[in-house]
Formats: sequence, structure tokens, C-alpha cells
Amino acid sequence: MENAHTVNIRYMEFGSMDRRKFLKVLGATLLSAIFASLSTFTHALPNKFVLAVKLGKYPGKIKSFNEIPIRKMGKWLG
Amino acid sequence: MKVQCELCPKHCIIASGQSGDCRIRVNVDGKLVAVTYGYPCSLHIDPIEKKPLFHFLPSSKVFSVATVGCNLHCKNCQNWEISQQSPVDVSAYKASPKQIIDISKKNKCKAIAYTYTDPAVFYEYTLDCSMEAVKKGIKNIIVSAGYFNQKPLRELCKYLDAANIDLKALSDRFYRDVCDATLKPVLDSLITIKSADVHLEITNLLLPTMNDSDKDIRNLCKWVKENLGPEVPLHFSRFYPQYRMKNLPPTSIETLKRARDIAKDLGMQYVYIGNVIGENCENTFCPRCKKELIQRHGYFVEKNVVKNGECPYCKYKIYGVWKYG
Repeated sequence: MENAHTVNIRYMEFGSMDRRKFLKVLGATLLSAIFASLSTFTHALPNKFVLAVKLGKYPGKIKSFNEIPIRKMGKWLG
Repeated sequence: MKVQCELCPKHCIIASGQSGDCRIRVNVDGKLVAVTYGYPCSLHIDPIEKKPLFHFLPSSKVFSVATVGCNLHCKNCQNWEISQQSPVDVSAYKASPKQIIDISKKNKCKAIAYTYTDPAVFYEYTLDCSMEAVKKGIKNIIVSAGYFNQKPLRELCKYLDAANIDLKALSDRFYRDVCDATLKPVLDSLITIKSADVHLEITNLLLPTMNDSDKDIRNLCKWVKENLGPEVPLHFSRFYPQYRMKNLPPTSIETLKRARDIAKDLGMQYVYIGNVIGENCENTFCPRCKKELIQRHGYFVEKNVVKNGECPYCKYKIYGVWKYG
């Protein structure tokens, strides 16, 4: 017959194994999510970039020539 | 297919869909494309003294052009908001070389300066604008760190009239640690520009504790004097905490004056202090008779007595371009 102490140990062992598995699965999921988002992040920019260039466009925002605010004494040095 | 960019000494090997270190030269299906060609992000009219060019058509207006990106990544960059960004993040205007020339003429600018970031990375645009400008009698100026390969620089020099090159220090370690570059290509560029008969002035930004010791300043001045000549104007510029170097204090006025004194003692003929107003260190004196020839305040010329490129008192020939044409 199991005493309270044994049950407690078994419960703890069982519980800690589950927790380990859970943490492993969680860790793996998080890592793959981070990896996926990182690779999406790193790939999205050049692809977008290159697509725009292929289409002969500047990859950033383009303002029309008439909008140029030609300042006397530019704000940048040099 | 990978491509190698041969424009600057970094020689980036770029995979398809990726850009070089400058962020703007992209491998598109095996073809190298400068994405900022025809897309300047800054267009302004500046006094030529702002470049700084003190011996080239004083008090004339210059049309300044820049695109985003740079091949150097100086931790102290003062224009980092455009130089250290990707084109994706900075808006630009669509302007062909012809439109740049037209707008310069419309604003009565005698010269176009390729500046703010580095014309090395918008080389093709600079070259095409320069060729158009020459046809219309407009002068071409570059304000650059001089980090070019020799072949493209020699090609560009055919159309250039003046250059202000930023010689950051006479130390390869400084270039590697602070600028993500190397010293030798810059020195080669300075010699190439001078020997191509392009008017040359040099700027040296003094960073406290990084390149402002007597030895640093002396070495730089000696190299300039021996390799380019004592007549090349030298601008010691004041640093203000910027970008990734906010930990340093601004350069003290004493340090700037010490640098000027060292340069003069070593025989440099025209030495100026920049980025400082009110210290009376921006005036030009005749190297022979020591009389004041040009009086400046900030970016503006208040008095200029240079006549036909000579000192009116002793007829000493003053280095520079004094007449348009």
C-alpha cells in the first residue's frame, strides 16, 4: 500500500517529467516561431526591395519632383 | 548568381536579392543595380563655404544633391539619418540628371555638390549629372570620404572641378574601429584627385581622445604637406556628440586651435577651424606677407580682396579657383 510520502514522490516525478516535456515542446515551439519570424523578417526586406528594383521603382516612398522643398542652407552637414 | 561590386575598396560580393554594405547597390538576377539612381533624398542650395570649400569660387551658391546610403559606417556620422539608412526607410524625389541641371540653373547655382552622404555610393548618378553639368557650364564638386577604387575615381575626376575630402585620421586603426573602412584607399584617392588637377581641400574632424593628440595631428599634416603640398587648405572641424558617439564631449576650442598651430608650424599655408562660429579662425591670410585677404563669418564672406588669384599686396599666387569660367 502506498503511503502519502510515496504518492507524493510519484506525483512529483510524474509531474516533473510532464513539465519537462511541456517545457521542451514550448521551447521548441518558441524557437521555431522566433526562427520563422526572423527568417521572414530578413527575407521580406530584400525580396520587397528587389521586386521594387525589378519594376524600376525606388524601394522607399517616392515624392514627386514638384514637391521638392529646396531649402536655402540644407539641414545636413557638408 | 553572385556579383562583385568594384566601385569601392570593400569589394562586396553580393548574392542575388541582397545589397552590398552600402545598402543601395543590389544584385538583381545577377545584375548590379544602384537603387537610388535618379532618386535623391535631399536637394538644397548651400553657400560653397558650407562644404567647406574656401578657395573655390568664394560666396557662390551650390546646388547640393544626396541620395540615401554610405559605404562607410562612421560611429560619429553627423548625417546618419540619411547615410546609415536603407532606401526602404527614406523617401526620395524622382529627378533625372537633366532635371537636376535644370533646377540648378533655375536657382542660379554655379556648381552642383554631390554631398551629405557619399557620392561613392551614388556614383553613376553623380557621373551622369556631372557629364550633363559640364555641357551646361556648371561646375561639379564632391564632398566625400574618398573611399573609391581608383578606376571609377579617375573616370569621375574627368568631370570634377573641386573636392573636399574628409581625411578622418592618419591611422588605419581609426578607420577600422570608427569608420568600418581602411586608410590606404583614402590616401590613394587624395593623390589621384590632386594629380588630376581637381581643386582639393581637406577636412579633418577632431574627435576628443580618438584622433586629436599632437602626434595624430602632426602625422596627418606631414603626410598632406609631403604628398599633396602645403597649399592644400586644411579644415579642422569641431565634433559634436552624434549617432553612436554620444559618449564623447564636443571638441574643445583649445584643441582646434592647437591643431591649427601645429599645422601652421609644419608649413601648411591655409588652415581653418570649422563648425565653430565667432572664433575668427575662418579668415584667409597671404602666406607670404601675412595680410588678411578673405574675411568670413560662419558660411558667409564679408570681405575678399583676392584679385586674379593673387594677393593684392605682394602678388603671391593664392591656391584656388577664383573666377567662374
